[in-house]
Parts: sequence; structure tokens; C-alpha cells
Amino acid sequence: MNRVVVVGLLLCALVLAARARAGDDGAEDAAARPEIVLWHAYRADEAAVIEEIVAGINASETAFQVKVLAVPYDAYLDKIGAAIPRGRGPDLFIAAHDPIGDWAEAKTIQPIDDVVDAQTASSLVPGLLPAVVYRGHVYGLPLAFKSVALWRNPRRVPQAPATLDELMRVAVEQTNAAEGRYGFVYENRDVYYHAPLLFGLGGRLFDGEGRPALDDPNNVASIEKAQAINAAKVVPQEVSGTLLLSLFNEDKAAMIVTGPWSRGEIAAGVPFEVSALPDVVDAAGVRRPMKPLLTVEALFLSGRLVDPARRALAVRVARLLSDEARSVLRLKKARQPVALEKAWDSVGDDDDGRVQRGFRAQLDRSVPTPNSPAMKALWSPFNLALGESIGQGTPPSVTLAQAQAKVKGEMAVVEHSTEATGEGGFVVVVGALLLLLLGWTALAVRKFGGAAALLSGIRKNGIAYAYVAPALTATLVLVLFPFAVGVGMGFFRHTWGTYTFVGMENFVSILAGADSTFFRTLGVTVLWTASNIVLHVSIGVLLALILSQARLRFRGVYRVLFVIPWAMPSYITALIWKGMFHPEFGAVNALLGIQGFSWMNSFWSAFAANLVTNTWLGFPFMMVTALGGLTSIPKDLYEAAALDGAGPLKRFTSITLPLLRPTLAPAIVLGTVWTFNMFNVIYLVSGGAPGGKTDILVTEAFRWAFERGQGGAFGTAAAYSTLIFLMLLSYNVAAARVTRGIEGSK
Amino acid sequence: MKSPSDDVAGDPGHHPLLGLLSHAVLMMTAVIVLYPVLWVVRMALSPTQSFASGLSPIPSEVTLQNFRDVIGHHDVAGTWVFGHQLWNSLVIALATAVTGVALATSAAYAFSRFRFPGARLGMSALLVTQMFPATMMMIPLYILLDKLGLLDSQFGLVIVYATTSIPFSTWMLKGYFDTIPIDLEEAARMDGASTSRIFFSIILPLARPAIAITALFSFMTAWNEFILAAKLMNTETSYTLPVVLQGYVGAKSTSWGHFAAGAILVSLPVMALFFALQKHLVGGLTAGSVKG
Amino acid sequence: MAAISLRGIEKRYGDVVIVKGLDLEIKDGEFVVLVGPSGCGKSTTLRMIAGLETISAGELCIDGQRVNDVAPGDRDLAMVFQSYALYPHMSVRENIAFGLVVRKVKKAEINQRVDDAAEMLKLSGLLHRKPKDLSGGQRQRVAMARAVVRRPRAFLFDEPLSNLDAKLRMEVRAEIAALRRRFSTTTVYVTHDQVEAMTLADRVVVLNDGVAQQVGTPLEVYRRPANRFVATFLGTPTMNVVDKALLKVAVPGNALHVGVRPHDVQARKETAGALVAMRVEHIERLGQESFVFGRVGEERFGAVVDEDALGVLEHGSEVGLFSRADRLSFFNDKGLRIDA
Repeated sequence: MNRVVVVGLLLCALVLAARARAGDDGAEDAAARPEIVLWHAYRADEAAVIEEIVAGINASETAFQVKVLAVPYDAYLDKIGAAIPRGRGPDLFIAAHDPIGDWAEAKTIQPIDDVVDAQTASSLVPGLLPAVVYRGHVYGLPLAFKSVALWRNPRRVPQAPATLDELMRVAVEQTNAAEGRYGFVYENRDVYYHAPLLFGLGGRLFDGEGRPALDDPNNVASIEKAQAINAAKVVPQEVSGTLLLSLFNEDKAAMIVTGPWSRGEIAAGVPFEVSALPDVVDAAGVRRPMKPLLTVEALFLSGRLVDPARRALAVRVARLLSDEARSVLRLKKARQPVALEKAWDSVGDDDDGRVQRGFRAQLDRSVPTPNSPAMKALWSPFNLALGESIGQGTPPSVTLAQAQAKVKGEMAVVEHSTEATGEGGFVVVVGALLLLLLGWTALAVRKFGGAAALLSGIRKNGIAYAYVAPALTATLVLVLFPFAVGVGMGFFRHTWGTYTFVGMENFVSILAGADSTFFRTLGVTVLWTASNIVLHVSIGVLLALILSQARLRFRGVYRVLFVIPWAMPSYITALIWKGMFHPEFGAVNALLGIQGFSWMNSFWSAFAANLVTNTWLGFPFMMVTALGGLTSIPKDLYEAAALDGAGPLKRFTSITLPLLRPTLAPAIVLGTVWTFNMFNVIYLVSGGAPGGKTDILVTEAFRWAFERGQGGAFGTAAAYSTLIFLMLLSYNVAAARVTRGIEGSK
Repeated sequence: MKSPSDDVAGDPGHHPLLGLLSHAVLMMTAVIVLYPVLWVVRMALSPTQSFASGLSPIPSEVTLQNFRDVIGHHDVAGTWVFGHQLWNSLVIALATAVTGVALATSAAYAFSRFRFPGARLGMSALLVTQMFPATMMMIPLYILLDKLGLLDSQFGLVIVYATTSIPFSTWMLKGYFDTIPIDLEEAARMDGASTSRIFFSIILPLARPAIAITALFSFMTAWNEFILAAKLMNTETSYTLPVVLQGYVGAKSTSWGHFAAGAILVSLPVMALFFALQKHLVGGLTAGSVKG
Repeated sequence: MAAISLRGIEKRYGDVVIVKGLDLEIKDGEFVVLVGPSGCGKSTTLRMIAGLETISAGELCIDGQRVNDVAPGDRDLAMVFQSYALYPHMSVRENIAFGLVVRKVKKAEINQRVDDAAEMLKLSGLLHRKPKDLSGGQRQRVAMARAVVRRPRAFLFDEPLSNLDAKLRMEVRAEIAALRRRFSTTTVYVTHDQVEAMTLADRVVVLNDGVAQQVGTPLEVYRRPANRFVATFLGTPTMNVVDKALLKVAVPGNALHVGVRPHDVQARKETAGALVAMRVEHIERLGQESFVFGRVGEERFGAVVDEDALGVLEHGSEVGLFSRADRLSFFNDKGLRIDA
């Protein structure tokens, strides 16, 4: 056994060493020719084309090399935000334009007015430049633009409708609920897809001074219009992007609203045409085009790229990527609506060309997504309001007023204090925290009888400490510092990379907030954790008991079968569960024999959907742990108990459970901690629906860190995390007391 | 050959009805477990990249193209990227399992067998590390790894993953070690065995079930992690498979066929590992050490 | 082969003293049984000899060498545990061989010695089995084989028979006695069972509350108990101990109590000349012999009865009790023996 371990360790060390060596060689090579690092979040055809273009550049350029990295989209912004300020990021990167405000303020990117000069600007498709301008400076070189447009199946809808009323007429004709066919499918609970109606009816996101204006009367009217479309039943319930495309692929959706990114998901042989969204007429009789939000994909130069020679090389790469030949390549091969006007000359009249021109037509009737930092704070409250109005029919005037209040409240929290104590403050607080931890340790030492006694104790128990030290040191080093920093951040306000000391303010504003969000969310979190643990443990133990019977046939097969939910990436299975809870197309309603019951419309059913999904994901871990624990129970104990006349239940409670405890207890304690901090399932299945009621504390912390504030309200998020930590800590201290009490009374 | 004393757990008697009931429960669970999984299989085998919906998970058209695409992923230079990534995942996950289990067993053994000052504190410290939401630790952790020169390094990932898995593993193993009779160690000491000999020849073989579980757990910790891996690794050939999977998810669209095929590929080694380990989960290991 | 000497051995846990200043010289080849009620410190003493417990005070020497701080494995002693402590994951052969493997004995020799030990203990056919597939008696024999195979300087037994049923116990007892005759290795044996003590020991050490009450041959201890504790602890049925005033007997010096074993008291129909008369409350017929029990004063009192001679006895019958004078023991106010 030990030999196996040693050999394994040696092998790993060797492999790691060998690979580290290989990395060094690469670095030497790069020293010879400067390496310009380019990051992007493209995938599929778009990524392939970028790779191809870069390979071409590397083949023809001798002065430098381009090193390209495809980063998963979900990790992209985060990775850029972490890497660039520490000088570890790319020289240039491709991204959507909407975070420009945050990036410019945090100096993650730099102005490139010199690159996007008048000549370059005039070569672009009109309407793109405003998207990449922030506070009077150009920050990005546009590569492509994307927005939703109207997709139709030409067999069902030969002619693109000119007005929404006309579209609705066709949609009603094409709808047949009994056959599961729908006329006009769009994600009516998502602001992004609602935006065309909003702008078409004169709505707005910000007022003239850049303050959020969610409760604008025209916004209310736009949601009322969406409610009317929903009431006409041309849209199925709870549309998601996945449902929409599968309906379209199965010829069950005549018209859908989506963007060029969906082309890869259209099944072969399914015909489609793309055109601009129709006009809409408001209550006053004014006719306006439905305008979707426009996203411009652009090249950005890292804010850390200051060396002029290197910057010149990066600019050269940017120019190459956006030149005519390569734009045409992107347009043709990656089917990107590219930013270079001249490239459009190559668009022919084939199927593909018609689709491209559809998106191009929509461009002229679109609104660039605001790139101000305040924008990201709007999404979540607005989505919740929209979801509640569509789902439960709550009047939009009410839900939007709530959303507006929420956004205002959150901004107040973030902008509460402005007095600065300078950069040093952060170091001081983290230092103080570390000192506090040290002091606590010192106290513990004194309690033990002073350092001398401790030292002699250490000497006497040398072996014990030698055994414990590696694990404990590794854990503490890698956790203690991040932990102290995390807690420390709670006393600061973060504004684009600078931290301002604000004392207890973050905590106060969370705990004494006008709405009692924190305490309500805490209640949901506790309920969520408790119900999950009870289900995971009871199902896990029951299955383990059954599976540990020696006589049972196929038990090996069952055991392996039942770890699948744990083994499979939860991202996909959680979304499948979400699909199974769909009111019309889901398996759950079909199985229960109920029609059209919407699980996401009430707290309890949405909570139940989350719970079922997480139980499916979570029971295997408890089952495996219990299986291991059961092996330590000698069989003769059962025989003895049986002789004593103990029935099966008695044997279970007096032998199985107590003897299972040592192995199950850590799984339960840690399972509690993990479930308390687990928001994946909630995020993916209910998404907080209805109206954020199924959110838990970590979801809130997450939203503060990534959706609010100026470059992330890390202070508030850290304060949230600290509160979560304190609650879990006191729970565990209490639990330890209770168990010790029980043991003591035995 | 299985002796009847294998039957440890519920000892549900030998009533035929109970056997039937057991199978009924297992069958039902299997259906619930498999139904969503069949959807993954359907998407993986389907020629389109869209998300499947409806009631029947039986695919109408079957192709292995998605698997071919995922496995056969080469970059422009002709490097077999998938091969590199699979290798990375295996090396990192195995190294994590070995490191995590090695550190956790030694710590757990000390916590279980020695009375020493700070033992309780140490155990609690391990637990406490799990309580601060991971999201907020990411930035400081990144800074720390940067300072240690462990960005873009497999070694860095292994250390972080092992550290993440140690608290559970230690607690779990400590609980299990507690159930191993101390007599056995004393007998070995009388036989002249050193502490390390006792640890390797007596304790480790007897703790096989717990070690199997912690090994699986540590392996899984590393095998499925993508947030940190995506953040730390800076070349595509140094990505791990979960990062690759995440790469099939775009801003507003996902290559579901590829994702599903990848998900199946990613879960196969875990199932194989569990299949290999589960024979250690048979009962009665310490049975027979004490009286008749 | 070794002489073991304990000089003022003590064991303390904090303020609790388990063993108080124990002195004992065990001669080379001697079989010493430590006997006493549970909690008397006998197992702790054995474990201190083994090295599994640290010695709080005093000196432990093996063959004149101080071994207080020598690790258990280096003392070259073998121990048979009450639980047998067989390694469950190893076969019988591996179990027996473990101590030799650890000591890096040559493979061929290990095999030879294991086979010998197995044959001696009738385990030859079981060498490939795992402990869980053995009966209780077989496990016990494996535990002994594990000790024997090492050819240690001394054997230590910690209540080795307490988990066996009565019949097996007798068999294994005989086996231990046989082993002992064969090797004449120094042996320290802990038990709470006086029959084991009497049958196996060269010398018996009776322990109570961490103090040696008496050290002597089994017969000495049985016939001439040093105090009331020893008197009542050894022997079945228990020795009768009553106030001297209740018996018609001459007592030496300041003796307060008189003790006599039931085996040494005859119950007869006549009461004339008896030590005392007693009403029968309870009769135990063991086939070979029968006992009657009643009360003398407040104390329970037992005697043998020859039923053939006596005819049928009933509850309530009055009997007279007779004993040889040299079978009486006398104890003073401190419970110590007074010799006539």
C-alpha cells in the first residue's frame, strides 16, 4: 500500500516537473520574439476563425508572435478583472462593449483614440462608434455587432410582418396549443428580449442625468404590451433560450426573437429567414420601430500595456484582425456581422447573405447597450419585475416601482460614504485582522499554560504534530490570508480598484436596510439548508442500507449508477431539471398528470423545484459516505441485538445510527456549510423566481460583488460573506455543544 | 465467494418481502436518477447543438459526431488539444487525490490516536476554513498564488484542490479511525512494529472504506472544478476538461451537443474510479479482530 | 527466558492512583498469575510490563536491565490480548508471521516457525483463512500461536479465556498448561477467574485497589489467605467468615472473625458438639457433592453434606456444622490473618 502511494507521488512530481520544464522552454522562445497575448471568449466557428487568422498572422509576421487564448465566457470578465490589474493579463482582448464604463474607470483598458482615428471610424458600419465611447474617449476597436432580430420559418410566415399588430395576427393563426405549436416565441421575462418593446414604445432605462428610470410610464406601457402578447397565448409559458430554439427546430415556433449567436443551434434542414423587428404603435398612435439592445464586440488594449514598442505591436495586431480580408473571413466563415463596412460588399444574395442583411437591417433600428457602470445594477431588479408581471400578472406600475426603489436603495448603500482614508487603510485592516487571529492563538496558548508548557507539550507530542503539520499548514496558508483579506474588505467601499475605509457601514446598511431583505433571505437560506440536509441524509442512508446487503443482486451496478448525479457536471443536469419543471413541456407535470402548473410562480413550488434538483444532485455523496460508515459496524452487534429481542427499527436506532455517526457527522456538518453557500442550483433552476423570493444569502453576496456598485460592491459582498461566516460558525459551535451534551449524558 | 458475514448494515433480516421491497426502491431510484441522464445522452447523440426538450429522451437521430468533435479537437498547429486537456485533468485530479489523502490520513491518524494540546483547535480550524463563501476568497487567493508564483501552474491547482478537500477527508478519516480497535495497534507494537509500520500495515488497510471515499472525494474536487482552473490557466493546452466544457457555453448560446458529449466523457472516469473503489466498501473489515 | 522484577511500580492518572507501589520478583521460567476483581490494577500492571502504559514511578527490570523506557517491541515480550487483537485483513498465516516479518527474519525460517506453531496449536488447516472465518476457540489459538512463534523472553496473557464458553475454556486452559510445560517460558497471566489462577500458576498475586494483597503458591493462598479479602475472593463457594462469638471455637489472640471454607465444613443431622447449628435455607446438588446454605447470625454460611449418609434434607431442616480445627482461619480487626 505505502509503496503504491510513494510511487504515485513520485510519478506526479516527475510529471509536474517535466511539464514545468516544458513551460520554461516556451518562455525562452518568446524572449527571442515578443509575444502579443490575445484573449477572447469566442467558441465554435468564431473561435476557429480567430485561431485561423492568428495562425496566418504568426506565419507571415517575423517580428512578433500572437498567442491566443480562448477563455470560457462565464469566466471571462472575472479572469480579465483578476489578471490585468496584476499585470498577468493579455495585451489585447476581444469583448462585448457593455463593461467599458467599469473597465475605463478601473483602468483595465486604455483609450485608443489614436487607433480609432477619423479614417478608421469612417470605415466602420455607421452606428457602432457611440457604443465604444466612454466619457469622450474611444476605448475599443469594433470588430462585429450583434443584436436580436426577428427569425421566422418561411414556410409558416412567408412575409416579414411590418407591424406588431400584423405579427400578432399571423402569430395567432400559427398557434395551436393542443399541438404545442406557437406563433411568436420570445423570452418575455428577460429585459434583454423585452427591450425592443420598451424602446419601441418610447421607454428608457436612464433619465436625462443618467439616473435609473425604471418606473418611466412608457416602460409600464411596454410591459403591459408584453402582458397582452402573453395573454394572447402565442407565447408558451416560461420561455428560455433553450426551449425557444428546440421549438423552432421542431417546427413548433413560427417566429422567434434571437440573435446571430443561435445559428449554430439551428438543426440542419430547418429553414429560416431573419429580418428587422416590426414597428409598434403606442396608445397615442405614434408608430416607432421595435429597437433591440445592440452589442458591439470590440478589441481592447490592456490598461497595463504602456511600453510604446509593445503597444505598437498590439495595435498592429488589432489592425490586422480588423482589416478587410480578415473581416471578410469572419463574415463568411464565422458568420459574424462584422464592423467593417467594406466587408459587406462581399455579402451575396444566397441564404446566408439574406440572413446577414437581416441583422444588418436591424442594426439601423437598435439602441447601443448603455456602457455606463450603473447599467449592470439594473438587470436583475428589472428582470424580477418583468418576471413577476408576466408570471403572476402583477401590474407593471407596481413591480417597476419596486424595482426602481430597489435599484435606488442599492445605489444608496454603495455610495453612502465618500470620505477617503487612502489606500493604506486596507493593509492596516487586513494586518489588524491577522493580528487579531494571532492574539486569539496567543490566548489559546496561555489557556494551555503558557508558551513553555506548550513547547514542552509540543516536544512531548512531537510525532502527533509532525503528522498534523502538513495538512494544517497547507490549509491555513491557503485559507488564512484570503480569509483575512475577505473579512477585511467588509470594512471598505470598493470603487474601481480603490478601497475606502468605511468602518461598520457595510454591515449596518445590510442589517438595518430599509427592506428586511437580509432577514427574509436568511430565513429562506435556513429552510433551504435544513430541508436539503434532511433529504440528502435520509435518502442517502436508506439507499446505503439497502445497498450494503450482501445478498442483494446487482448491488455493484446500482452503486455505480447512483453516483452518476455526482459524477456528471451539474450545469447540464440542473438545466435538464429546470426543463423537467416546465409547465407545458416538462416531465414532472406530465407525470403528475397536471396541466400547465407553473412551478416558478409561487415561492413554495419554486422552492420545491430547487430542492428536488439539489436532492438529486446531493444524495449520492451522502450515500457513498454512509456506505463507508456502514462497513465499520461489526455484524455480531446485530445478532446480539436480535437475540436481545430488538426489532429492526430498534436495531437501526440503537446500533446503525450511533455507529454511523462518526463517519456521517463530518459529512453532515460540511454538507450543511456547503448547502448554505450553494447557489448554483438556485441560480440555474428558479433563478430566484418568483421575484427573488427563492434567493439565498450567497446569491445576494454574489449579486453585490458582480452586479452592483462601481466595479463590484466588494465591500458589501464581503460584509455579507462575513455575516454568513459568523452564522455558520455559531451554528457549528452550538451543534458541537449539543452533541457533546448528548455524549455527556450517555 | 461471499461469506454471510459480509452482510453488515441494515441486517434487514432475510424476509423475502424485504428483498422485493429493496429492489422496488432501487428500481425507482434508478429511474429517477437515469431519466435526466438519458437527456444528456440524447443531446450527446443528436446531430444538432440545441437543447432537447419534450417527454421522451429517446433520440430520433443518432450520431457520434459530437463525441468525435470533442475528442478530436486539434488546434491550428495540429496539437491534439483534447489529449493535453484530458492528461491535465487526470494528472491534477490524481495528484490531488494522492496529496489530499496522504495529508488527511496522517493528520486524521494523529487526531484520532494522540491526545495533544491543540487537537480540538486544529480540527475546528479545518472546519472553519469551509465557512467563508468561496466567491469572496477568489481575488485574495489569486493574489496569493501570484505572489507564490503558482499562477498558470498545475502544481498551484493541485495545492489549492488538495487544501479544499483536506477538511472533509480529515474529519471523515478521523471518525473512521476511531472505530478501529486500539488493541490491534498495541498487538502490533508488541510485535515490534514501528509507528509508521503500524500506520501502513494495520491502520491503512483497515481504513480502506474511508480512504476509498476520501480518495473519490478529493478526485472529484479537482476533477469537476472549473472556476479557479479557468482563472489560473493561461494556455489552452493547460486547461482541464471542465474548463473545456464550460467553453461550450457562450454568452447567449451553448453547443449543447458538444457539452453533453463532454459531460458524459467527463463523468465516465469518475464512474470507473468509483467502480474500482467500491469493492472496498464491503462490510465487516474490523469484524473478526475481536472475540467470537 | 527472563526474570522480571517490579520495584515500587506505580501508575497514576492525574490524582487517581491505579497501581500503588507494587513489588514483585518473577523468576526465570515462572508462571505468575495476577488475579483480582475488575479495576484492581492487574491489567494495568501487565500493560506496564508490556510497555503499553508508561510507568509513573518505580523500576521495571527484565533480566536485571531497567526497561522503563524501552519500547514495547524492543522488550521481546509477547502478549495475548483479551480481544485476541487479530489483524482482520491478514490471513492466519500472516497474523502469526507478522512479528517475525517486522523483525526481518528470513522467509524460510518464518515459514518453518509458523508451520511449527500452527501444528502445535492445531491450526495447520486454517492458515489461509481470515480471522472472521474462525470460531472463537480458533481465534484464541491464533492469538497464542502469534505469541509462541516469536519465542519471546516472556509471555503476557491478558484475560485470554474470558470470551470463551466454559467447555472451551477448560480445553484452552489445558493447552496453555501444555505450552508452558513445553517451553517453560516466564509467563505473566492476568485473570479474574480464580480457577485459572489455581490451576495454572506457580505463584498467584492477589491484587485489590492497586495493592498486592498476597503473593504465594496457589495452595498457600487458598489455604492460608493473608487477609479477609483474599479469603473471600478465592474459592467457590466463598469462604464463610463470621464473628468469633457465633462459633464454639477457641480463637488465638485478638482474632475477631473466623473463616472456614464450605468444603471444610460438614453438615450433619446431630447438633451436639457442632461449631454451630443452622437451619437449611437452600440446597445445591452438584451431583458429586452437595452444599447446604443457611445463616449464622446475619452471615450466609455454607457447608458440604453427604446426602447418602444424611438422608433427604429439606428446607428448614436443622443441621449441625463440624470442621477440623486446622482448617480454620482467624482474622483480626483489620482483617489480617492471625495464626494460632
